[in-house]
Amino acid sequence: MPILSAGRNAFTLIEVLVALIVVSLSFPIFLSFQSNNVKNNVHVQRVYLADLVASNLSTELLSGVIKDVPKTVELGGYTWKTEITYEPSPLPIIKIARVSASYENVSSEKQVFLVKEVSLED
Amino acid sequence: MKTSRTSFNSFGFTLVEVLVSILLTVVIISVLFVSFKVSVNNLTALQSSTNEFSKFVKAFGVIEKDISNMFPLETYFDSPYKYSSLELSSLNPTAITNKRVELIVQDSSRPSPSGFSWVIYKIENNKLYRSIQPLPSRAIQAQYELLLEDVSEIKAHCYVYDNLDYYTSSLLNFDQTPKLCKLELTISGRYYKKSFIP
Repeated sequence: MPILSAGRNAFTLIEVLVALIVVSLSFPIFLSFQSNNVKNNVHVQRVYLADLVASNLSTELLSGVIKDVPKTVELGGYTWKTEITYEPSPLPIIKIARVSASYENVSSEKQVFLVKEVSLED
Repeated sequence: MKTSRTSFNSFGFTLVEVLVSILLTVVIISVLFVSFKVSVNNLTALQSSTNEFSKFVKAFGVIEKDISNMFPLETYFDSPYKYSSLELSSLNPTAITNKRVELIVQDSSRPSPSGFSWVIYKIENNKLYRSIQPLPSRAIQAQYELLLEDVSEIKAHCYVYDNLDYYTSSLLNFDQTPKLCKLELTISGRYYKKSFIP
């Protein structure tokens, strides 16, 4: 009688194995959450660095230390592609420069207002 | 006796069944263990990276503020901080002839004026320390705080205006705020730079 009673209350081996398989199948879902967390964190860091690259270049342009931006910039272990585009502004003496820095799917853009160089002949 | 045997057979498993189930359990547990180990490693790396990054962002802000507070340098020429200004501006004569002030803090302590305090940076064993003293006195032991780890190099360049040619002839004429400062840091072998107008 005691053996029969124990057999009724316990799980069978099949039940335990099925439960184990279900747990093992659900585990990758939790792992994917964590993986997304890591990816998001890296993304945020890259966004900050992209902003830093664009900010550095726009500040250097504004101060006149550089006249043009390089095609690539090394910063934070990444090689950033940089680009500058100029647009006219309502004031003829001022032009708008848009500096962008990008790496894979991360990019940042800054704009600065530059005073056009006026030659004496003009 | 007969009844007991029948009961035993109906509730038990064969050796093959038990072995297969053990094998299956071992495989599943080993896969879970490997996944868990990878997950923990990722989490640890993420935590370390986040800590390092937040410290780096904070340190950049602190150093930028210290450099900005150094200018205009003229304030300090007739003050007890004169020596500090000269020491900072004469670190790299080559850079000064190129019309830029070079501030290098590497493997030694360099005092710099910051308001009414005395800011000292030093790198020891690849760790960047910062200290503030109320007076530029060596008598008071500087209380250093660890600002960043794994720093191999820190540089700050401040560009002055182009029309100040006399900078090359006299170091005592640093009387204007620079138009741009560049702060460069190499942390964990990675190069970081910040350009700012003080």
